[in-house]
Amino acid sequence: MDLREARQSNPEGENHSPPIWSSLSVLAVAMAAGFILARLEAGPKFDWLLLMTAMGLTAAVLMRVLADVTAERDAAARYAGDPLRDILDSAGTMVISIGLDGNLTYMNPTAERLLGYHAVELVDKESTEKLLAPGEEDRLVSEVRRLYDINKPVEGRQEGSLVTYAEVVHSLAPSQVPSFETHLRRKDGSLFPVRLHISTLRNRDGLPIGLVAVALDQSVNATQGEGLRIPRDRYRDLFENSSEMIATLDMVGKFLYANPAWRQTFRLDRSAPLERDSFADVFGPGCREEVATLLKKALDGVTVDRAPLRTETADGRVLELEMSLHQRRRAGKPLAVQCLLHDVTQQKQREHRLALQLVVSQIVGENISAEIATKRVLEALCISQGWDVAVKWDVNTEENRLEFNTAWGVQGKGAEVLIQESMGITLAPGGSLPGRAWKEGRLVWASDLAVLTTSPRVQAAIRSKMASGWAAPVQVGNHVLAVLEFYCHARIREDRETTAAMETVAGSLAQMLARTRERERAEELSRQQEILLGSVADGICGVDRNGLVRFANPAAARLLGARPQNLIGKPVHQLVHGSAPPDKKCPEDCPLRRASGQRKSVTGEGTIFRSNGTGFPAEFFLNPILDQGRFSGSVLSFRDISQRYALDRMKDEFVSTVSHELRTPLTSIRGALGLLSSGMLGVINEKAANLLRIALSNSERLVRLINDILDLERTQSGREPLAFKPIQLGEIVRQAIDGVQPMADEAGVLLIHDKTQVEVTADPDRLLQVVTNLLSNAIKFSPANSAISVMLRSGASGVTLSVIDQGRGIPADKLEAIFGRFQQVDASDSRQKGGSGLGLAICRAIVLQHTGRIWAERNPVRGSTFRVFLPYQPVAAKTEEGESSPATHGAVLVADTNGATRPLIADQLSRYGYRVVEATTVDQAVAVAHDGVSAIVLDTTIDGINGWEILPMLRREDPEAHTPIVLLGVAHPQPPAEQNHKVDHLFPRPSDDALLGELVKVLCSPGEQARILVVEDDLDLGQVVAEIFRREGIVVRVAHTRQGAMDECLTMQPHLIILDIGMPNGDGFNVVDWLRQHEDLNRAPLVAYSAHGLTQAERMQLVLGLSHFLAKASVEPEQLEALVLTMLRSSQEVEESVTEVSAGQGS
Amino acid sequence: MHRILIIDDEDDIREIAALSLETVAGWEVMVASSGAQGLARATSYQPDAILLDVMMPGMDGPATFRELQKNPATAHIPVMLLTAKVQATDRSRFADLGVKAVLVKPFDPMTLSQQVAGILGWI
Repeated sequence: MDLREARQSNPEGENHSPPIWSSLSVLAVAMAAGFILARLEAGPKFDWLLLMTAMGLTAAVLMRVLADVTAERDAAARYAGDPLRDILDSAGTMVISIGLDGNLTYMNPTAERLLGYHAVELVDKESTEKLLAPGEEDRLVSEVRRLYDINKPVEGRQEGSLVTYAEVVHSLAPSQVPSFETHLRRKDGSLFPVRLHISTLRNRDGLPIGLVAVALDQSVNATQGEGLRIPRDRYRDLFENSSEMIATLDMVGKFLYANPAWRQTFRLDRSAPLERDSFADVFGPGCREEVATLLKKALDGVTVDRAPLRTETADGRVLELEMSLHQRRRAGKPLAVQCLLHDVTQQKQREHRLALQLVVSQIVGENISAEIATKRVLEALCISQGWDVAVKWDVNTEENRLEFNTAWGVQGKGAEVLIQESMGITLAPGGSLPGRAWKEGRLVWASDLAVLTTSPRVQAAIRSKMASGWAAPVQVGNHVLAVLEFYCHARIREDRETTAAMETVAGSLAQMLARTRERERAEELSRQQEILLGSVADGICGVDRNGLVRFANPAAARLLGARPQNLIGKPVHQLVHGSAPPDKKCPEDCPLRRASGQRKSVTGEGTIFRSNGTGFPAEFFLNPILDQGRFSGSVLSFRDISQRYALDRMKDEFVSTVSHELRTPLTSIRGALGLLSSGMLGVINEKAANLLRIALSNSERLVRLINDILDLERTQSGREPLAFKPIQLGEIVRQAIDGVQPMADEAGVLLIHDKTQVEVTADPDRLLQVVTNLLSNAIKFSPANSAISVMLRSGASGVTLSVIDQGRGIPADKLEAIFGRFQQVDASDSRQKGGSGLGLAICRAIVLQHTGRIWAERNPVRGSTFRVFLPYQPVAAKTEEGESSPATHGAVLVADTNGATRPLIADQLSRYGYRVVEATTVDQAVAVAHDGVSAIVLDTTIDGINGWEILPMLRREDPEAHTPIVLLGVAHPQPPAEQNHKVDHLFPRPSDDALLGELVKVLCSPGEQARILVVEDDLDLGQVVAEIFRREGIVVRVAHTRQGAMDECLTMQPHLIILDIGMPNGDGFNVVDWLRQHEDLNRAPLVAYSAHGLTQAERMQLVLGLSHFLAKASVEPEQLEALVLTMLRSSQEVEESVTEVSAGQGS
Repeated sequence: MHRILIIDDEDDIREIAALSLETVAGWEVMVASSGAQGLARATSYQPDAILLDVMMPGMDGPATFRELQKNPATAHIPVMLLTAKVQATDRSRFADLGVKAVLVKPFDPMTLSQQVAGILGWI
């Protein structure tokens, strides 16, 4: 028999007559103990029915125990060994009995413990008054009177006496004995709440002999479950203020009372008469039937305990309730039904949300396709929330619209139709619920769709009987990936829990979609890369940092005649040259052998051998992979160029044939015109002779053009090998000058060249062609009486030949273009100057064959300078960083965040033969410095960090401070006081190439001896002046003529020039003018002196670098010396203190 | 007066070269339009020098030169090749044959005779 059955069956059982008690005693005791214990274990929630049952049984037990008490007062002796007494003594409930005189007759140990008295202190001595809280006895009595409608004192009894109660209670069935909430007083005076149940103790004859009280300590749960269990006069207060919904119904199920909480929850009108409302009708239509069933049970006397209910209120909220119904009886008759509703909506929603979250995360975690997962998530959400339709729309950003993705709908209720209508349509931003949720990036809720009928989408939903709808964006950050749209046939208002559930789901979906997209994108990318690598014709191999192949594409395998997997793990060189037959083994310095595993880019052509030993001509590239500036491997790519070789041969033949075919008719034309115009075949009138001359000169030009085309063709193709041999470059220059001298004489142009002798390995014929070409170009574009200088300057790895003219110059934007084919500065040049437009292209082709470089610069004042850099030894295979820089001087770190100047500096430095390593962040700069460089050019700010602060970091990488550091920029020209790191040079941010040229000179010419050029036509005076400076350990050269001065200037690159203005042939002013044209010379300090004074205008004319003018007559040698030394020193100070550098050359 | 044989398949060039040598230098010129004809005329005419075109149908310049060398009647006559081919490899190949010189087309009719005379030491 379980407790519930016991509870329900006991009321009947207690109507039995006293004689049956004894036969039931054992059972009763067991039940009483069981109930009490069960009560204690069941926790705080009080169940008054249970107590009532326990009470009745306890009274029965006590009755037997105490039946004889009044007859025989020797209780102690009689109780001993009585099993019933043991039960009472061990009960966890206070049990107290009172005689009709009001004195205590018994209290069990629990009562002793809780009240703090010993039984002997009270039993037979004290009345109950001592145990009740002050005033409680009177209250209890009046309560009893009110409860049992006792309006007048019971006859013969003292008013307020317990006897009255005993008699009244005696008349009641045990099940109807009421219980009271009251407070007991402990011995120490403290009070504690109890539930007190008092019934009459009767003797065997059924006469009252006293009262028995069972008291349950309520301290723990004093605040709980008060609603129905406190005295009636406080019911109303409690009911009225209770947050629980409490109602009383009459026995036909009409409201007698509903507390404010009830009215509020169900939106019942406070003033409306309750009778109108049938109990079940208050609830939503979905659960009325269920409520009616429960009510019927209660009306039948069956207690309903916390039956779960789900109802919708009139205004669209969904409530989760627990309903308890209890029939109240009075005098054995059903009186009313008490209804208690507990709102568990929030709790349920939380549970729902948790469950939902769990389900969603399970679905998402199952790694099924996004679409299926989405559909299942929508299903879970709808089912848990009771919604009818869910649609997911994907955002198509390109088309700016929402596209149907997937949907879920509940069976029936029009959901299918709505989903059917959704498929294949798109939604514009705004308008519909999803459109708005997308654009506004937030939840959009319409609890009543009827107000939104402007949207066709909403109209469709209304046609499908939907009452409310809402949409929520699925977004990662601010990026909306999709929109979820929901509809429900019931009107549902937006509330926090629902929103939270939606957000939970949308968040999970967003994460899933983002992951899916990311994965798809990565897969797509890797698939594309694979397709790309698989479909290119070039062989591509990934090489690790040790030079071993880690990846090979199908083309690589096909070209090498091997399976891709057989290529993996091979060293690069082994891969392409490993299967060469013994007689075709590559030399030790095979570029691929040298380059593999190094951080160099290698480009070249050569034979690559297939695994079967046959070879094919190939072009290969080995490029390092730099991962954040660190070398992490290389990529080798190669292609079969046999077809190109064949094409080249065909082109070769074609060119040869064409040239022959063109020349043959030209020979006739040229010959005929030549003979005719000579006049030997007869006298020709002047007009005809003029026409003949035009025809002749154009036929000659045609011949030159054809020659140049062929020349360029064979040079660029590289198939006509150069005849390299050691040659004196100065000798080549001399030959070239001899060759063009007649042309120069005719143009009235002065040719000057320095006498530097430097040996290079080159093809003399081709080189002569280059110099001749540059010179004849310069002559063509030079005005009469100007000078052209040829200058040779040796560097660490090669020599730079410069041809400097004073002609009309080249616009900055053409400096590079003029080396292209038919790219003259002015289109009319080819006609006027008679060039083919291919000369510089041929020069560049030839210089490139020498692995050199050729470029043009603008002179500071007028004219241009063509420079040719030739390495002492042509490099066999080009090892290149950029296009084809002869990187021979070592590495220079250029750390500069300025995107405009960095390439400028880099380009300039690489022209001078430096390998440039660029860095744009401090980390990169430090990393590169760590690897070691020959110089560092540093911006004053990088990443917002002051260059002065970066300096110590760089210096740490170079503790001995060998590396020159040049600081660029003028933002912080002075170091902060505490900084004491050596900066070798400080430049303003360079604005032109000239300054960068100076920079390079600084980098490559540490600690040179000072050089002075003395220009003096008086031989003796020249020697005297020279001697003054030689004493100081200064290199001095003396020139006696203008021509000599120019030659010496080019040859020695003086730091300072001492000039006699009054020289006979070509005065000093001409020398100054000439010096001004030279970027290398125009900053040299000049000391000019003269036998006569100069006008201010003349002095201005002399300004060149730092200038001083002295009158010859007035100057003492010591004075001159002092001045010169001061100027030299100040010139050096200038170098060190920022603005100008006039140090010399790198020779 | 010097006697020159010009062997060239191009009528125009033949004519201009002949005109040039005749008018400018006053030499006696004989022409041939093919290698074979050239061989025959060289034997019979016995010129002081031969100007020989390189590119000719049938027997080309080098072949003709080799035939001239083989024939004792013509082996002693100095031969200069006249060619429109200017590539260095071609020129050096021709020079290796043993000819006196390789002259380049187009030539200047006013100086051609001087060139030839210079090479042969007739000045």
